[in-house]
Amino acid sequence: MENSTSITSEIITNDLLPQKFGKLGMIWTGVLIAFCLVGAFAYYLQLKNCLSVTAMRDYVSWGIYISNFVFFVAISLVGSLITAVFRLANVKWSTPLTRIAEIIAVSAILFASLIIIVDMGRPERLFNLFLYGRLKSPIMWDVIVIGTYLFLSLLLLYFPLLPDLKILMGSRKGSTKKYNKLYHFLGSFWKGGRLQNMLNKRAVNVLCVTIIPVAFCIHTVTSWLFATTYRPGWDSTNFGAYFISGAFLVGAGGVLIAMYIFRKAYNLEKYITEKHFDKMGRIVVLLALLYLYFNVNEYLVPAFKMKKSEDAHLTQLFAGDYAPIFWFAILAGMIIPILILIFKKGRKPLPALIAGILVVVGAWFKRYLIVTPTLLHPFLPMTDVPENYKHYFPSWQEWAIAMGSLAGALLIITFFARVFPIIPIQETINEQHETTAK
Amino acid sequence: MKQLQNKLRIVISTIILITGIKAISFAQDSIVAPVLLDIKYFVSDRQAPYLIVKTKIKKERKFLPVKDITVVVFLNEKSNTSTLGKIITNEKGEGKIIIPVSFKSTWDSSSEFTFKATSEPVGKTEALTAEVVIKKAKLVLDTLNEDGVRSIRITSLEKNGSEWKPVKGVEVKIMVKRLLGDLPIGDEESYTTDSSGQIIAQFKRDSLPGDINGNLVLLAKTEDNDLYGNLLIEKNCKWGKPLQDNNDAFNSRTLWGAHFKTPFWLLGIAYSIIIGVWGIIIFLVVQIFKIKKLGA
Amino acid sequence: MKNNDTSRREFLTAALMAGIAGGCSSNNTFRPGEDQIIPSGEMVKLLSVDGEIIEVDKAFLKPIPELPPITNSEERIGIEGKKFVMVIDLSRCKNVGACKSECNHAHHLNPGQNWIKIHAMQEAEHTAPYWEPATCMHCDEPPCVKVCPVDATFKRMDGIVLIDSDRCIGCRFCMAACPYSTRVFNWQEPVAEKEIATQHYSCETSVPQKIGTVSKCDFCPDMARKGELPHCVSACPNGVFFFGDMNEDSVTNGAETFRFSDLIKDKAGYRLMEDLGTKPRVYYLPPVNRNFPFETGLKTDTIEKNNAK
Repeated sequence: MENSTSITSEIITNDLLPQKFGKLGMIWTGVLIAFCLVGAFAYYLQLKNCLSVTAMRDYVSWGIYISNFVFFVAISLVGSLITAVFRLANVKWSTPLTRIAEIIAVSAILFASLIIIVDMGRPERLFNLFLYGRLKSPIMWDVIVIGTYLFLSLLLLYFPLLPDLKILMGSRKGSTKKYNKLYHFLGSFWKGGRLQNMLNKRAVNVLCVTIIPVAFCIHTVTSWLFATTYRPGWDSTNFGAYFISGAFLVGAGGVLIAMYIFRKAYNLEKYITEKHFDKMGRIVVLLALLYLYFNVNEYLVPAFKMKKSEDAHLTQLFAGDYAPIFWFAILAGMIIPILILIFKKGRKPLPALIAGILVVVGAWFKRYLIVTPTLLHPFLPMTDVPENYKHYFPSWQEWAIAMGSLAGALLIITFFARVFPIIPIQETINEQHETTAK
Repeated sequence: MKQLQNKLRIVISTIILITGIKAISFAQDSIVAPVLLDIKYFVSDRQAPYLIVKTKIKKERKFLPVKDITVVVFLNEKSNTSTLGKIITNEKGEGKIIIPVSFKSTWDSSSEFTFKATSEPVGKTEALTAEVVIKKAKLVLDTLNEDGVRSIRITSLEKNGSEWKPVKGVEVKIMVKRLLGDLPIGDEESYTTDSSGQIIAQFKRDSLPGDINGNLVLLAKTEDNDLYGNLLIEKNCKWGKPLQDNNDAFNSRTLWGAHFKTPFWLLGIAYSIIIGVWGIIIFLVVQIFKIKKLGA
Repeated sequence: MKNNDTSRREFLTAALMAGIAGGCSSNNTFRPGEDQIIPSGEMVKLLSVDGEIIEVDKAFLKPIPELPPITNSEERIGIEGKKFVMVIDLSRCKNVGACKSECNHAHHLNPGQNWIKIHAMQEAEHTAPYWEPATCMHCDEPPCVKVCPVDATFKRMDGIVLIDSDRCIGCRFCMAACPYSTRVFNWQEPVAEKEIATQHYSCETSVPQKIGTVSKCDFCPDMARKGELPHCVSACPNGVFFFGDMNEDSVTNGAETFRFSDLIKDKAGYRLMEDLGTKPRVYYLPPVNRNFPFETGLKTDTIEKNNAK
C-alpha cells in the first residue's frame, strides 16, 4: 500500500512538471510574440498621432478597445468561479482546473488594465487618477476594484503554488538554473510542515471567500460604466447581472479551450479526463442558459415597448447593419454551444472544444455589440460632423492592438505553463492519497 | 422639339444669369472697402462730456473694427490751439477723448459746438475726416412714488445762454441696468418728452432682483440724438427685490460636486468596502510572512 | 480674440467705470450695489457739461485696467453672484450658421469640430420640422461631471460647466454620459497658430485646444467677465440666442432685453430632455409664429458649409 502510493506520487510529479516547448510550442509562442510586436508597433503609432489613428470619432467615442476591455474583465471572472466557488462547495474534481482558471484570470485582468490605458487620450496623465481621483466616478470604482481583484488573484495563484515550488526545486527535470532562482525566491521557505500547511489552507479559504464578492464587483462596476449613462441599450437595471452571467459563461468556455489544449500539449489525459469535459460541459450549458435568459430580458423587454430612443438601436441590431453579428453572437455564443453540450456525446473533448471556441468568439462579438451600436444612436441627430463620424469600423491599428493584447494574455498563460506546473502537483498527490486510503 | 428648344433656352439663360451674378459679386469682393471714420459725443452720468472716435471697415455686410489709426480731434476749428486730443484706435477700432479742463473758457462761451476728427494716413488708408455738431444738453432723472405706483420722471434740458431750458420731442430710453443688456422699465422701447420737456414713465418691473439690499440702478439715455448726441443719467433706487443668491447646490455634497465634496453615504460605503477588503489582503500578506518565518 | 487676463476685482472696476467709458464696448457692465471699487486716491479733474470742474478718482477712468490672470482655482469657482442662463428662440432660427462659425473662430476649433450644432428636427412624420441650435446645456445636475474620474470637468457656482484640458485624461466617459452629444474630442494635434498654441490654457476661454482631451461649449465666461455677450449670441443676425443672469432675471441678445421669467412664461419656454433630470441651464422657446419657414434654412450652400466644417 505504502509502496504503491509513493510510486504514484513520483509518476504524478513526473507527469506534471513543466516541460520545455516542443516544436509546436515554439511556433505557437513565436506567432503570439509576432502579434504582440505588431500590436506594440500600432500602439507606438497611436502614441505618436494620438487616437486619430483609430476609427473612433465624436459619436462613436468608444470602440473595440473598450469592448476588448469588457471581454478581458469578463473572462477574468472564471478564476473566482472555478477556484473559489468550487473549492468552497467542496467540489473535488475541479482541482486540476484551478490553476488554469487562475492564470487565465490574472493575465486577463492584467491586460484589461493595459487596454484601458491604451484607450486613454492622455495615458501619461494616468497619475491624475491618484492626484485628483473623484470617488463619485464609476471609472474610479473600476480602478479600485480591478486593482484589488488583480492582487487577490495573484494571491490565489501564489498560495496553492507554494507546495509545488518545493517539488519543483527538488526535481531536476525541466528546471534550469534561471528558473530555480525564481523558485527559490518565491518559495524557498516552504518546508511543508503541519503548521505551514494549516496556515496556507486557512489563507486559501479566506481568499476564496473574499474573491467572490470582489469578482462580482469588478464586472458589475464595469457594466455600470455603461448603465450609469442614459443611452439606449445601456440604460438598463439588468446590466450588472447580465454582465456577470455573460462573464461566467465566457470564462467557462475559455477553460474548456485551455483544458483541451493543455491536455493535448502536455499529455495530461490521466489528469484532465473525459469526466472533466463532461462536468465542465454541463456547467457551460447551465451558464449559457442563464446568459440566454438575461439576453431575453435585455432585448425582449425594450423591444416590446419600442420606445423611440430604443427603436433605432434595436432595429439595427435585429434587422439592420449589425444583424449578422448580433445573430451570430446569440447563436454561436449561446444556442449552438447549448445544443452541442446538452448531449453526452457533445461533452467529449473535441466537440467541447468547438463549443468552447464558439462561446469565446461569440462573447467577443457580443461585447462589441454592447459598446458600439449604442453610440451610433444618440438622442439628438448626428449633425454638423464629417460623414465618416457617422460610422465605425475599427482601423488596422485598433485591430492590431486588440489582437496584440489578446495574444499577450495568451503569451502570459503560455510562459506560466512553461515555468510552473499548470496542474497543482501537491494537491493532486494529496487527493490521490485520499482516494487510495479509502 | 420646340419644347426641348424652349427648355434649352431657359437653361442657357439661367446659366448666364447665374454666372453674371457671380461675376458681379466677385467684383464687389475684390474692391477694397474704404475705412470709415466716425465721431460721437457723449455725456456720462457724472455729467462729464467726452468723445468717441471709431474706425471701421465694411466687409460682407458687417462692420469690422480697424485698429492702430491715429486720430486727432479738434473743437470747432482745425488749429493747434483747439486740439482736444490725439488717440490711436484700439482693437475695437475705438478711441476716447475727454474734454480737457483747459477748454473751460471756450466751453463756457457757447452752447453749440462742432467736433472735428481727422485721421492720419496709414499705408493705403487715406486721411479721413468726420465731424459732429451738438448742442449742450442733459437729462435729469427723478423717481416718483405716488399711491404705491412707482414711476420715473425724466426731464430733458438744453443750454440756452446761461439757462437750462426744457425741450420737447427728445427720444429717451429708460432702463434698469443689467450685466449684459439693460432691461426696459416697461413695455415701451423708448419715450418722448412732452412740451414741458418731461416724461413720466411707470416702472413695471416689480420685484426685479437687485443687489443684496434691493438696490437697482435706473438709467435714462438718448441714443445718437441729432442735436444732443448721447446723454446718459443714472440713479440708484431701492425698488428691487433683495438678491438671494443660492449656492447650496454648489456647496453641498453631491454626485456632481468637486473632489472634496463627495456625499457621506458614498464615502461611507466606499471606504468601508475598501478598508474591509484591503484589511483581508493585509491579513493574507501577513500569513505569507508567518509561513516564511516558520520555514526559515 | 480672447482675453483671459481678467480678475474679479478688475471686472468690477471695469463695471463701475463703464458709466464714464460710455460708448466704449458695452456700457452695461454693472453689478448692482457692489460698490467695492478700490479708489486709487489719485483724483482727475474733469469738465462737466455745465462748465463746472469736477474731480473723479482715476480708478474710475482707466479704460482698460491691467488684469492679472485668474488662477485655476478661481476658474473652478466661477463668477460670484451669477447664475448664467441661455434662452434659444426656435421661432427665429433659419440655420444661418453664424453662431457656429463665430464660435469656431473664437475658440480656434479644428475642422470637424462644432460646439454648436444646428439640428434639423422633426419629432414625428406629421409634426412640423424646425431648426434647433444646441449648445452645451450647462446642466445643474450634469451627468458628465458625475462620471469624470479626475475633476477635469466641473460645475461652477455661476452654473457653468467647464473643462480643464490640462487635467483631462481623455477617457471620454463624459462624452458617453452626455445625452445631448455636446462634447467633442481632439483626436489629433489641434491645428492652431503658434501664438495661440503656446498660450497657457485657460478653462474660461477653452483656448488652446489640447490633443487627446475633450472640449465643448463654455458659455464664454471670459466674455461675461468683460461684460460682453458670448460669441454665438452677438453673431446671430436673427437674435435667436439670449444670454443673461438668472439672479438679475434678465436675458439679452444684444438688441433686445427681456425679463427672463416673463419671457419663459409668455412664450412657454422649455428645456431639452427634462425627463432625464439633468436640469439644463439652456431654455428653448417653441418654434411657433416663426419668422422664417423651415425650408429657407435648407439652402444647399449652408448645408454644404455645415458638413464641411
